[in-house]
Amino acid sequence: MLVLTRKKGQSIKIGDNITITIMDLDEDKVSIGIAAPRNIEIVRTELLDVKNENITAANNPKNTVDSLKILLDNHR
Amino acid sequence: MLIETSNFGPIEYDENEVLYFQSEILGFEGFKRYIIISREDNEPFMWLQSVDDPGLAFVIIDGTDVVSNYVPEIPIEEVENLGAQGASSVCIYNIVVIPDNIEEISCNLKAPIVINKDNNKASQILLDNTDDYEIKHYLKGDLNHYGVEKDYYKDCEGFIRHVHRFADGLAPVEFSELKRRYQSPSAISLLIVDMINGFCRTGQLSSPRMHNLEMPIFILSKKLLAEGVKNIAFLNDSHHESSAEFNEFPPHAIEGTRECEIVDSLKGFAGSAEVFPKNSLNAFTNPDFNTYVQKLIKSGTRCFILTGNCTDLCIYQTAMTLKMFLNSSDAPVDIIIPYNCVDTFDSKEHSADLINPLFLYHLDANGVKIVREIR
Repeated sequence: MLVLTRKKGQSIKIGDNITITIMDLDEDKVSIGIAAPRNIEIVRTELLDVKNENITAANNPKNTVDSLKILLDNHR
Repeated sequence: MLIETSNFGPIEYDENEVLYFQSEILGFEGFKRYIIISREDNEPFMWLQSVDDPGLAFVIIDGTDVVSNYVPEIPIEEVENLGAQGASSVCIYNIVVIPDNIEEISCNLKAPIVINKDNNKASQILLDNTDDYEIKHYLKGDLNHYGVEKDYYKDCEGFIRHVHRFADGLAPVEFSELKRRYQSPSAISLLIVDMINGFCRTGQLSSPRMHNLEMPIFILSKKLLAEGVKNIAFLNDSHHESSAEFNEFPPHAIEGTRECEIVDSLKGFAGSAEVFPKNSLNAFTNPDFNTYVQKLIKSGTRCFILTGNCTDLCIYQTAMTLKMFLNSSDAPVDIIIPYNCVDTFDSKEHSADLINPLFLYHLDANGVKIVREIR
C-alpha cells in the first residue's frame, strides 16, 4: 500500500480523472473531498460491508419459518 | 391488498401498513415498499417483506428488545429525513442472517432499519455509534435470555389473573352482620383518607377516579351515622410550600388552599368528626392521630373501616401501620376496607386497574379484611 502524508488543503491525483483533497482535520476525523467522473461509484467501506450482509440476509434458506420455530423452541 | 410471497403464500395487507424506504436497503436499490409480517410462532423474529418482489424478504428482530445493552444512536439528520419528531416515534429493527447452521444466527447491529411509526417512512441507517456494534452479532446468548424473560412474563400473567380473581371474588358484607360481630355500632369507627379537593376535584394530583369515590363514601358514611356509629375521622393531606414530599410528588394540598378542604359532598360529616392533618402519606406521623387511635381502642373500638385514596399510597400506609400497631399490642381489632370505597389514580406509568387490586391483595395477605362493599 502506498502511504502519503498530506496537509489540510493538499490533494492527490489518481489517474487523469480523480482528485482527492484533504478538506479538514479533526482529532480523529478527516474530511475528504473527491472529484471523480459520475460513472465511478464512491462508497464508504463499511457501507459495502452492510450491503454484502444485506445480500446474505436476503438469501435465507427456504424453510426459515420452520427452522426459526425449532430454534426458538430449543431456547425455551 | 394482496401479495403473493415466496415464504408465506398470498398475504392480505392494508395500504397503511406499507413502509416507504427513503434510503433503500443497501444492495436492494429500487425496492422501496415493504410490509412487516409477524407470526406468533416466530416471535421475536419478524419478516420484512417486499411488496414489489414476492421473493424478497428479510428476517428482522427488534435488537433493542432482545440484545442486552443495545442502545443505537441514530444520526440526527437521518431522524429528520424520516420526518420524526423524536426517539419515541421511531422503532428499530435489525436484519437477521440465518446460516445453514441456524445456531450461528446473527443480526446486524451496525446498520439497523429505522421506521418512523407516524408516517411509515423507513431507512437503513449506519449508526453514530456504529463502532460499538458488530455487523454479525451472534444471537444465541440473547435468545436464551429472551426465552427466560418470556417465561417470567408468562408466570406474571398467571399471577396478575390470580390478583384480579381475588378482587372479582370479594363478597359484600351487611352492616347488620358487622353490628352482630362487633356487638355494638359504637365499636365501629370510620376513617376517611384524603377525600379532599386536591385529589378529587382540582389540582395537579386530582383524578376522576377519586371523584368517583365521593358517592359510595357518602352513602356509607350516611348509613353508618344512621346506624349509630359515633367515631368518624378525616385524615387529610396538609402540606406547606416546601414539604419534603414535593421531592417525590408535584406540590399539592397546601394548607389554607381549597385543595386542602374536604370535598363538598362529604363536608357535612366533618361537623361530627375529627379531622387530622398530615404532612406525609402516613397519618400516624401526626402524633394526635396516634393518640386518637389508642383512645378509640381503649374505649372499645373493635373495627376500623378504612376508605378514601390512594389505595397504594395513603390507604396502604395507614392500613399497614394501623395493622402493625394493633398486632404489636395484641389488640383484637379488625380493619375492613370496602373495595368500592378506595381507589388510586391511573396513568401510563401507574395502571390503576392493576395497582388497586394488587395492593388490596397484599393488605389481605397481611390480615386486613377486604370486602366488596358494606351494605
